[in-house]
Amino acid sequence: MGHPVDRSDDDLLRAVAGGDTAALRVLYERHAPWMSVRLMRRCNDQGVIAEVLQDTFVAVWRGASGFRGDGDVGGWLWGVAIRRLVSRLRSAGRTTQFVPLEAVPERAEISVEERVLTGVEYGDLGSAMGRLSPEMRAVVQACVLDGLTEREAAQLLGVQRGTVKSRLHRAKAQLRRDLVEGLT
Amino acid sequence: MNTPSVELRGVRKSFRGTTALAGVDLDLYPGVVALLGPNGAGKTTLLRVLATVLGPDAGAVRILGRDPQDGTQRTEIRRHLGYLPQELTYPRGFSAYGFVDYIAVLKEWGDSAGRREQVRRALEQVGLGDVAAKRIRALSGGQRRRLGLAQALLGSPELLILDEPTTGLDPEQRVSLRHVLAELGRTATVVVATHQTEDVAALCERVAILDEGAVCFDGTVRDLVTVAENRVWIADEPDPRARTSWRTAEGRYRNLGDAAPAGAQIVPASIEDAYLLLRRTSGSDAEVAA
Amino acid sequence: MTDAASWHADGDALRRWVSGTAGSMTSISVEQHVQRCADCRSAVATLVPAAPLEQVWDNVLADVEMPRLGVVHRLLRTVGVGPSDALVISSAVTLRFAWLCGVIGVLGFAVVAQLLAFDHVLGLFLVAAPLLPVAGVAAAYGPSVDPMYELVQVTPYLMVRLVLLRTASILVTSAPLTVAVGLLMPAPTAVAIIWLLPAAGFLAIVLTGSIWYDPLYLAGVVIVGWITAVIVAARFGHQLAVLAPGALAGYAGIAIVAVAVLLSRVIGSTPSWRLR
Repeated sequence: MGHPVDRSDDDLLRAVAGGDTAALRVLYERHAPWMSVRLMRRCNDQGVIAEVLQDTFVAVWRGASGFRGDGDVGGWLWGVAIRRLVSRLRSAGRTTQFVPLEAVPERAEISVEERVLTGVEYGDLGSAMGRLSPEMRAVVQACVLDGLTEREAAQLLGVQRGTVKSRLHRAKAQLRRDLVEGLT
Repeated sequence: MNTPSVELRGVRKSFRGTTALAGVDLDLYPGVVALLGPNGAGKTTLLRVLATVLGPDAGAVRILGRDPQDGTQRTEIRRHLGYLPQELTYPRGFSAYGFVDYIAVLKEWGDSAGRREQVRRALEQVGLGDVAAKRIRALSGGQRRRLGLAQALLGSPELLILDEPTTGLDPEQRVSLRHVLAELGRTATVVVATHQTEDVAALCERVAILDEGAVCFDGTVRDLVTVAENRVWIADEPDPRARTSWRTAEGRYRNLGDAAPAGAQIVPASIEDAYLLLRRTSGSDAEVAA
Repeated sequence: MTDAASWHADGDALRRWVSGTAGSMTSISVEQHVQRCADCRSAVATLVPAAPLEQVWDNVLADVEMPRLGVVHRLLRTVGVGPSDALVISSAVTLRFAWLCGVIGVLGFAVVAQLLAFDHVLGLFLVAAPLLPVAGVAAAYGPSVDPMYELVQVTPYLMVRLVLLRTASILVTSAPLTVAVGLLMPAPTAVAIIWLLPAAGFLAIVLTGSIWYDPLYLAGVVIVGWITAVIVAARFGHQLAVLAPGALAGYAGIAIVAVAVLLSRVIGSTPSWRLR
């Protein structure tokens, strides 16, 4: 049909805002695969994930004009998706289906190279995260990794907003201490 | 030949004193048929009679083996009919998909899952698959014309009636329309009213020419061209013996007449030549039987 | 933290992440990276099964393309009206919006005038009450007001059915309101309901007449005729004369004749009123 596949995500979103379903399709092909995987790691119900993915892209269609063109389309899309997941789990009363970030140790077989690379990427963040309590890890995942606001995280985790705030504060402080200590 | 899908015998229709159809006799068969004729010849009226929008004042009409004067049979005809009027205004607030979907519901697809399939298929056949979600007012003129065509194509009707379908289409779109119609013409009867002779050549196997409310030619395209054989010649000046002449791109004159004079430079005839010759003649010498 | 662009998740990490066997450290890294890296995203796309995603896409496209049904449409479907009937009725709503505003405007004005004790409020009511449905019907169908008229005519859906359903919906929406306002009028209570007879007569004229003439034209004739009748009655006697028993019999008679004509045409057209 004459749509160059190398249009930027920004351009595609603009086209979607103008009513172009072909552009939505390209966005879908680019982003749905990784989003579906990342969503599965938050909730292991395939049926729910399929519905969330569908809701997400319909929401993208309707709200594409709301994207402030700051270039991070992937992040914006993820924000839409994670919020859809949270609201779907909440309305179904199944927030316990939300899989918390476990302190899962790495398998011994990962290559040394990869260890080094991921170590460089996130420093000792991974192991520092492992030393956090599960509650603090949960708020870090919700607020830092998934980009939820404190209020949304509170709704997801079923705690007060103040609790999220203080746990996040303590988690960040602990991580900072860990990483600084790691350097010295 | 097998039974005709449409039979018209002595069909007359007048509006407030003006005669639109003055005794039309016509049989139509599966395939693509062109209805050629000048403006005011009665093409639109004839198509409206075929589409069961109008009933004749006199004469017999049989469409798909049924009588459109009878209510039940008329509804049955409409189940197998697709119609694109000459002018189509669109209602406000519809998307392309929504418009075709509306007609699909009225064509009795109700709630079925098949309806979405049919609507998508019709839109894709006319190349509007990617803009289905757009508002009609956001579409170009050519796209709107194709949208009208899409609703006519819904459900692959047995009788497809198109009044000037190619207006507003660029050459590329015309070509794809020809493919679509040729495909449909294998099983359905497709009637295309047009005054563009190039469309006739490219689209249709048969031609019917309507002039002043009556059929003055009904046959294959080849037979039509034969009418003008040896009656077209080129000269440096317009020939007074010709019935009509006009200037060509090369600066010479193309002449059309009853017979090319001896020694004249005869050129191959086109559909347009034949059409013009037939138009200027009235009476039996112009009629060529199918 | 290092610049994300300079680090790519290698194939093995991606594979483990996709299969769900990656440790949390790897997962965090991959997730944060993939969000921003087009190359790794396409690598992930090759690792994820396509069929389920295709199915989701089909649903997305359907959601996005299919027109959202209005409130009226959904309401009608809930009470059991069929899909084509509901469509035909609710699609007239856009045509009728202006009319609906007119109805509310006129009746609202009558209420205000009554409350403020204006003199000619009864005359206004008498004029307006039967004409509101007529105007509504004229705005609801017909080649002059409905751009899709010819296309709809050529579908198997019966035009007669469309006309009757739209007329019924107009009566349902305007009649109760008019009756309520009628009860406020300085006249016998019967006036609040009796206007339905001339209304029925006029509607019958417009509906049956539309077999031959444009309903907009017919409605115009009816409107002018009725206004004249009320004015004449007011000048030469009392305006309620238009609702005298003799007149009422007349309206009823017209309605019966017109309905008979309509029925005879309809029965000739189809044995059954139900749409498949």
